[in-house]
This record gives sequence, structure tokens and C-alpha cells, in this order.
Amino acid sequence: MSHRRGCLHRARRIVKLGCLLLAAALLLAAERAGAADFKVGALANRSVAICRTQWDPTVEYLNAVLPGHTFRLVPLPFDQIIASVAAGDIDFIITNPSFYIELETRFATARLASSRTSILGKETTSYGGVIFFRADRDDIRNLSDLRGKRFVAADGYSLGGWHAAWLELKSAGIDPFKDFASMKFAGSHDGVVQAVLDGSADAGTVRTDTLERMQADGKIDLSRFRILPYPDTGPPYGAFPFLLSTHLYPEWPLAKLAHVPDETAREVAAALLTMPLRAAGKPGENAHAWNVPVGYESVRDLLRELRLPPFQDYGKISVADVFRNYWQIIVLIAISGAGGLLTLIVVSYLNVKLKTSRRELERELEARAAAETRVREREARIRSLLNATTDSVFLLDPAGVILDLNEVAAKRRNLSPAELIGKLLYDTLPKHAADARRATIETVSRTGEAAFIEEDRHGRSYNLRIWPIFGDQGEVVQLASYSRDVTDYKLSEKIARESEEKYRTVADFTYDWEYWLGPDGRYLFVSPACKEITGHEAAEFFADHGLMARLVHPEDRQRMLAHLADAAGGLTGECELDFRIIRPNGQIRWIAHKCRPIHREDGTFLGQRGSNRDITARKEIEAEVAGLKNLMQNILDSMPSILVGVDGLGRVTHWNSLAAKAAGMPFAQAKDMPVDAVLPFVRDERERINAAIRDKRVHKVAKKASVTGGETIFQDITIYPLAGEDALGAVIRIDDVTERARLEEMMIQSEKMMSIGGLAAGMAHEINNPLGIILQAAQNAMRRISPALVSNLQTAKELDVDFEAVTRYLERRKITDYLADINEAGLRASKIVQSMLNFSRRSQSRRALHSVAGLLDKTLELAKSDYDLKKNYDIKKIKFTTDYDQSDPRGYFVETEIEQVFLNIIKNAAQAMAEKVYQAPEEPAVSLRTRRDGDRVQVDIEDNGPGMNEAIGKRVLEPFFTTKAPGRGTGLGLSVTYFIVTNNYGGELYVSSEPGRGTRFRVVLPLGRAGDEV
Amino acid sequence: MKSEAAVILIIDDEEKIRAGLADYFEDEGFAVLAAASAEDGLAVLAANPVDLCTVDIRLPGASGNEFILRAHGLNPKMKFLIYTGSADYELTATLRAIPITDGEVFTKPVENLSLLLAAVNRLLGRTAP
Repeated sequence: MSHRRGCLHRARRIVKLGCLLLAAALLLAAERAGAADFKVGALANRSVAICRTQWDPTVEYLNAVLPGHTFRLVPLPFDQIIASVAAGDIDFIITNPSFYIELETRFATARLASSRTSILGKETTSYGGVIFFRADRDDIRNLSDLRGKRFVAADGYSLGGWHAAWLELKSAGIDPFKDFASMKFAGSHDGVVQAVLDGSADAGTVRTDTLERMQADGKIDLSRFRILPYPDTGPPYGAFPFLLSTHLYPEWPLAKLAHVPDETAREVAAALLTMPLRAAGKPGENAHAWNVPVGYESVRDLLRELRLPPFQDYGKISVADVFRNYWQIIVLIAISGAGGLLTLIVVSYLNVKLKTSRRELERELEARAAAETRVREREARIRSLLNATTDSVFLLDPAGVILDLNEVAAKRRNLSPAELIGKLLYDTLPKHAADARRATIETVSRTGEAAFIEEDRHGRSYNLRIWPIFGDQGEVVQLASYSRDVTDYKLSEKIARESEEKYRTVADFTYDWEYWLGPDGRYLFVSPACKEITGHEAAEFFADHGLMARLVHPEDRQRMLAHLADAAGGLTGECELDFRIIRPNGQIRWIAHKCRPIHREDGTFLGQRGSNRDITARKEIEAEVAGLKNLMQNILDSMPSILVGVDGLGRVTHWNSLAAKAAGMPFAQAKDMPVDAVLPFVRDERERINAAIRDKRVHKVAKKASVTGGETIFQDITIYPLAGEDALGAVIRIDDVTERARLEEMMIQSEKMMSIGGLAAGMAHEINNPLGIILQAAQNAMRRISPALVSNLQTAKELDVDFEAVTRYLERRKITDYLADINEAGLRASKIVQSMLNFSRRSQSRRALHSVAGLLDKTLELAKSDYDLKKNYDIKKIKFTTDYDQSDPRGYFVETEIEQVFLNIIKNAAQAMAEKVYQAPEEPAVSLRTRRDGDRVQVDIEDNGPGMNEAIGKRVLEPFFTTKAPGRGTGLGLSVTYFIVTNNYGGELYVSSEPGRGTRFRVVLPLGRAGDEV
Repeated sequence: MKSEAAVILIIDDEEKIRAGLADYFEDEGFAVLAAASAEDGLAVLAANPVDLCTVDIRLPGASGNEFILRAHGLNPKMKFLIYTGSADYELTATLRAIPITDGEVFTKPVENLSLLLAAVNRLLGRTAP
């Protein structure tokens, strides 16, 4: 236990001591390093400013993470790198790999890290060169094409801007300083690009990413350049993100100079590896971070191969070399005492000898190599020429033995060229082809004339040309056979032909008159359908470019010409219009024209594409439809009814002129309005209309009364639902039945009278006999009490009666009056029967020609002498005025009937006027007026009596209707008048009256014709 | 003063009409015969000279028209007055040919019997008393 504790104690002590020592060492190192101000040299290959932009971040980072030290960036141009390192002016160096190798070799400069670069957002750790030229140079396809060209590189020290390309050139056998027309250095990468761009150099080389960077900076258009791409696309080349023409080399290293202590180098190296890679501030600027140092063997090899520093002496013999190779001799000589002089002599002798033989050998070898190279190059060119074709090429002897062939020929037979040389060509062909080929080759050999044959084999088609090659004596010694696989060509030709046929078919078999008018106004295409439409062949349109315009109907021509002019100028977009053409036979056809300008994808104007469609049939149908519409409207308008079409919601879809008149608005205004809102007569019929539409049943309102313009009219409203299954809607018909209603009333009245007449006729006989008895008896009684009759007095005398006393008695007891009453009542009854009989009795009297005015005058006389009128109505006080038509209308009448007509009216007037109290100066007056009305006469008899109210006016013609007290008038007078006028003469009788102002009767009588006498 | 009185035959199926007319004409100084039917009337004519007949048309048996024709056949000088209750009576062509005119047609009742008397006097060439 104690022993172990002792050991542990001792170990702790050792550790403590170690820690103390280590801390001291670190402190010492820090002190020493802190004493120095580290300068970081950097190759300013482009400019000092760019150099600072690129490397300042690294220096600043070092300052930041290593606060014990101070680092300062020192930009160095190409020519100061070596000097600065040699002089130890700087402590670290950032430079390109070429310089680095030299510095490493010569000054033991040691790399600490290799750059990791972010360029244009892409990260790389390697770079190379890119060989480029202007895109318009089609004479440069590979490195060899650069011979004889003017070449420009960035700088003699630049790896990417020169060395990389140089090595590729050298590998291709090109010595830039001999084989180029000129070899220049622009001093900077951008300068190289500029020189190529302005044509002062044919091609150039710059560091990879230069072109992309300049493009990103907007300095160049990359598409104006082409490059020679590096042929290897395997790793890492395939993944390299920039244009590349050369091997890739590691990016720049950061190296320490020999005098920098290892501790400092470690610190710096560790710090560099932790530096983050930030994106550059500006596009096109590079940003850097650091990786562990990579090997620069590839750079070393490049420099060695190019004999560049530090390998500029490579291939020379140094003193050290001699000593190494010949040390035994030298030791021997030294031992034998010959001394240093001898040694020098030997060395210089050997050197001279070696140099001489070596120079000779090199010269010979170079000459031979040059010749061989030329031959090889020439053959390679010819072979590449032969191989750079898709034709198979054979060189044959006249027997058909293959002397040589190209790769295509071998490949077609799936053999290598070597396997085919010496074989008989015919053996490589199927039998039918072999035979034909043999025959052709024999013919060509014999005649010396080239032959052309077509051949199908293995499902493919070939075109063959066999050319003779003549010997010195003009004999055919060899033949060249060229065979071209035309399968695809034939196929594409066939496809093209089919395609052409397809589109031609489409174009030629259109129904429309299609055309394509070129930009020069000439037809490029006119479809054959033009013949059917215009009567002119397509050829006529091709021959006569003004034909279309001339076909246009004169009325449409101005319009069409203006359009065609606009279209030809490309002024119109897609547009259409209708016009008419006149065919050669004079027929007119309607054309719907559509055209539009057409342009190729690049905007080139290709002319106008037009389609002309024959729409004559459509136009005819349209005209027919318009005609039908018109006809329908005319039919609707011709109907004596108000007709309104409504849709399922009762909105107006059609209406005729009567409807428009009734509504007081034109159709356009009423369209789509609810019919009950626009047509007053159906204002309250909405429900009925809806019901008719809903139930598909006709609804009718008969004799509906409406007041319009102060007059009452009667209308039948009928709502017919549309008949179609799917048709929703109705037609509303409104008929004015006012006249009919009135006629019906008159008919009823007439029938009533007729029936009265029939009744009267039946009763008359039965009543007349008793009336006869009554009246005879009354008259006989009155006669037999009268003193006038002699037999009365005789009888009284015989009976011894005082006749006078009897008479006095009879009078006092009013017997005489009773008898008179009986007589009068009997007479009145008799008159009633007589009047009633008039309703049934056709006039038995003959009609004769009478002047209407004469009949009126005669009636007036009758009226004035009428006992009843005289006695009861004071007719003499009535002032009669007459206003007769001057043409004195005459007609065929029964005098008594017409007199009765007029008399009844005058009597009625007189009776009515008697009931009015006239205020002076107004006095009872009746005016009589006649007017001829065609073959009728109109007689107005107008009084200024009290008039009648409507109710009485309506009934005034009714039989037995009277306003007079019983016993005054029979109530039949006007009925008889009416009956005579309407029934006997087919005339009309109207009564109009205004209460308080008077009544007017209007009698309209047909005048009749000769022959109506009976 | 009074010459031989003219004889009037009254034919009417209505007794009161016959009686009334007979009284009237007797009062006027005529000799009056009466019959209730055409047949009776003809029988009267066969037995008596008659100057004028007043004839009802609607009669039981033969009509007044037939009677007139027959009576006229018996005595062409005989005069006729038609006195009928039928308002629609019209003279036939044969009656008109006798001749009988519308002036001799009266519909019952006449407003005043003097109208009949006037016609009778006119037919018989008598002057009114």
C-alpha cells in the first residue's frame, strides 16, 4: 500500500513537472512568435486589388484566431515572388502551384494547406486551363488545328493561364514557340479573353472559370466562344464544374518559408483548416478556405515535362551527377594524385563528349520522328476523313478482294477492319447482293466507267457508287466502292411524301374555299373547293390575283375591298365578314369570310390564311326564318284579337299590334315584362294565367266588363297553354265582344217580340170576337138611347115613356158615360191586340218608292193632327226643325209602316217633353235630320226632353215597357217601331240619351232596290 | 119614302155578334137575316133574296171564303163585307176576282160600326141617311 502510494505520488510529481516545462515552452514560443510580424506574400496574378479581395479574409481570419500574432498580406507580382522568397522578405506565401514547386525545390518552402475555392457558388479544389477561340471560328476543331494560328496566354508563369495548356499542346506534338504563327502573353487572364474577342489572337488559354467569371461579371457573352474540351470525362474531370481543356491541378497552396518555426507553422495550419468557406462578396469573385495540403506531383511532372523552373536544367549533367556516377574513377584519380585539375578535365571531357553524341542522336531522332510524324499524321488525316462519314468505303482489287476499308464498312459487317482485309467482298454479302456486286465490279473493271447501283439487303437500302482507279497504263487496277445507307433517307422521304400527301388531301378536300395569300399578294394555295363555290377553278385564282375581289357582289365590293386591303397590309387580326359573290352563271352565293395573318415562330409575316364558306343555304334559311317571323307577326297583327304570348313565368314573349295598342307601349318595351303589369285587361288575371300554364288547360273568362276611355266594353279572355310537351307558356287572346254582346241582347229582345207576336196572333181572334161584342153592344146601346135615332122615339112613344126624361135619367146616373167608357176601353184593348199582331204579321202592303223626307213631313202632319197628341201633349208648342239630306234619299217602303215608325218616335218625344219644365228661352224642340249613308239612310229624331237614365234607355224598346201612367200609351209603340225597322226592313234602331239634355233615336234604313216593291 | 129595304144577311157563328149587327143594321133601316154558319147562310139565300152579306171567316163547317164563293155563284150581283176576328186575314185571289177589295175587309172589333155602314152604303149604292 505505502509503496504504491509512493509510486503514484512520484508520477504526479513528474506530470506536474512536465506541465510546467510545457507551459514554459509554449510561453517561450509565443514570446518568440509574437516578436515577429508575419508577412503573408500572395501572388497577384490578376491585380493587387483582386489579390487583396481574395486573400485578405484568410489573413484577417488568422489575425482573429491567433491573437498572439500579427499577419499582414503582401501582394506580389509574378516577377517578385522568387526574389521575395529568396530574400526572406516574407514568412508565408500563397501562390500558384508552379511557383510553389520552384519555391519548394529551391527554398524548401513547405505547404501548410491547399486552397478550397468557391467560384460562382461552386466549390473546387483543383483547376486547369481552358483553350478557347471565337465561336465563329469553324476552322478549329482540335489542338492540331491550332498550328499556324496566333495564340495568346495569360503569363509565362501562370499554371492555369499557360502551363496547363502548354502541356496539352506539347502532348499533341505542338511546340507553341515554333508551330504557332505567334505566341503572346497578355499579362492577365482578362487580357487573353479580350485579345481573342477582338481578333488580335486566333485562340488563347486562361485559367478555368475565367470565362464563366467574366460572363457573370457581364464582361463577355460566353456563347461567343467555343473551347477545345478535355477529352477525358471520367473522375474527376466529369464532375469539374467549369469549362476545361487540360489536366486538372491542385489549387494554390499556402506555404511557410524555411525560416518560420514549426510551432508557428502548426498553429497557422490548424487555424487555416478551421476557416469557414464564405461565399464571395460579389459574383465572379473567388472565396477561399483551406484543406489539408495535397500532393503537387502532377504540377511537378508538368514543370518537369515543360522544363520549367526548377527543372530548367533537367537533361543536363551536374557536377553532383558526375560525382555520383563516376565516383570510383574520381576517387581513383584523386588517390593516384592527379589532383582536382585532372578531375575537372575528365569531367569537362566527358561532358563535351556526351553532349556531342547526345546532340547528334537527338538531331537524327528528331528528323526521323518528324518524318514519321508527318506520315502518321497524313495517314491519320486520311483515315479520319474516311471514317468521318456514314458511307462504307472499300478499296478493292478487280477481283473483289478487300484491300482496305473504313470503320463504317467493318462495322456494317460486325467485324474489325483487320478481319476483313484480304477477304473477298462478295463473301460478306448475301447471295443476291453478291451477284449484283460482282457483275457491277466486273463491268467497272472492264469498261473503266463508274457505276451506280441500288441494293437492298438485310432489310436496309443502300446506294452504291463504284469508281475505277486506273494504273499507269490506264488499266483498272483498283476500285473504290462507296455504299451509303439510304434506308432512313428513304423512310423519311416516304414519311415526307405521306405527310405531304396527307396535308395535300386535307387541303384539297375541304368543303370551304380555303386560300393562302403570300406576303406579296400572290396565292400560295387555293383549295379546289373554290370551283364548287365560285364556279372558278383554283388555277384561275392563281393566274388572276384580282379575281376574288371581282367576284364580290357590287353592293358588298367596297366593304370587301377595304377589308382585303387591310388584311394584305397585315393590319387586321383574325376577322370575319359576310359577303356575296356572283358566279359566272349569275347565281348569287353568300360567303362567310374569315381570315387572319399568319406568322412563322420567329415572327416572319407569311401572309393571310383565308376561309370562305358557302353559307347561301344558311342565309336562305335565315331569310326564311326572318320571313316566317315576319309572317307570324303579320298573322298575329292581322288577327282581330289582342294576342299575347307569355313564357312559363307569365312574361311577354310576343304580342300583336292590338296588344301594343291596348297596352299603349310597343313590344320592345313590354318584352319580358309580366303581362299583368303591362296589359290592363289582364291586370287581375295573374292567377288564371298561372293556372292555365300549370294545368295545361284552357281557361276562359267570358264577357268580362272593362271600362276604357269612359266606355264599358266586354271582352272574352282566353288563355291557351302552349301545347308542346316541354313548352311552358301560354297565348292569351282577348276579344272585344261588346258588339256581339249588344247583338245578343237585341236578339233576345227580338225573339221576345216575335214570341209576343205569335201569342198575339193566336189570341187575336179569340179576343177580337168578345171585343166586337162589347163594342157593338156599347155602340148599339149608345145609339138606342140617342134621340137621333127615329126608332128610339117611336119605341118610347109606343111604350108611353118620356124619352127626354129617360135621357135625363141616363145622363144623371152617368149611364151614358159608362157606355162611353166601355166603348173606349174596348177600343184600347183592340188597339193592343192590333199592335201585338204587328210583331208577327208581315206587311201585306206593297212597298213603293218613297222620299224619306216626304214620309217624315207626312208623319209630322199626322202627329200635329193626332187627337191624342193634340189633346194631351200640346204638340203645337213643340218646335220642329228639319235638316234633310239634299240628295233626297228615296227607298222602297210601305208608307204606313214607316210613318208608324216615325210617328211612334215623335209621340214618345212629345210625351217625354211634356214631363220637362222648360226655362226660357229653351222650348220643346224636335229636330229631324236625314243623311244618306251609302245605300242606307240615317234618320235622327232628337228631342231636348228630360232624357233617360241608362237603365231606362236599355229597356225603352222592350214591349210593354212604359214610364207613363196606366192607360197612357200601350208600352208597345217603340217596340213596334223597333220591330218594323229591324225585322221588316233589316235596318237598325239606336237610342242614345243624356239625362236632362234629351234623347236621340237613330233609324238606319236600307233604301232597297227596284224589285223590292212586293 | 122608304123604298123596299135592302136585305143584309149576317153570317157569324157568334150569336151576340149576329144580334148586335142585326140590331144596328135594322136600326139603319135594312132588312136583316142572319145565319150561324155557311151552310145555314146558303139555306137562307136559297129561300130569300139578299143584297149583301157580312161574312165571318172562321165558321164551323165551311169557311166564310167558301160561302162567299158559293153565294157569288148563286147570285153574282150579291155584295159581300168580310167581318172577321182573324187579324192576319188576307183576301184570296179568287175573292179579289169577284171583286172584293181590302176596303171590304174589316177586322173585329171595328172602332165604330158606322165604318161598316159606310161600306154597306157604298156597296149598295145608297147614300147615307
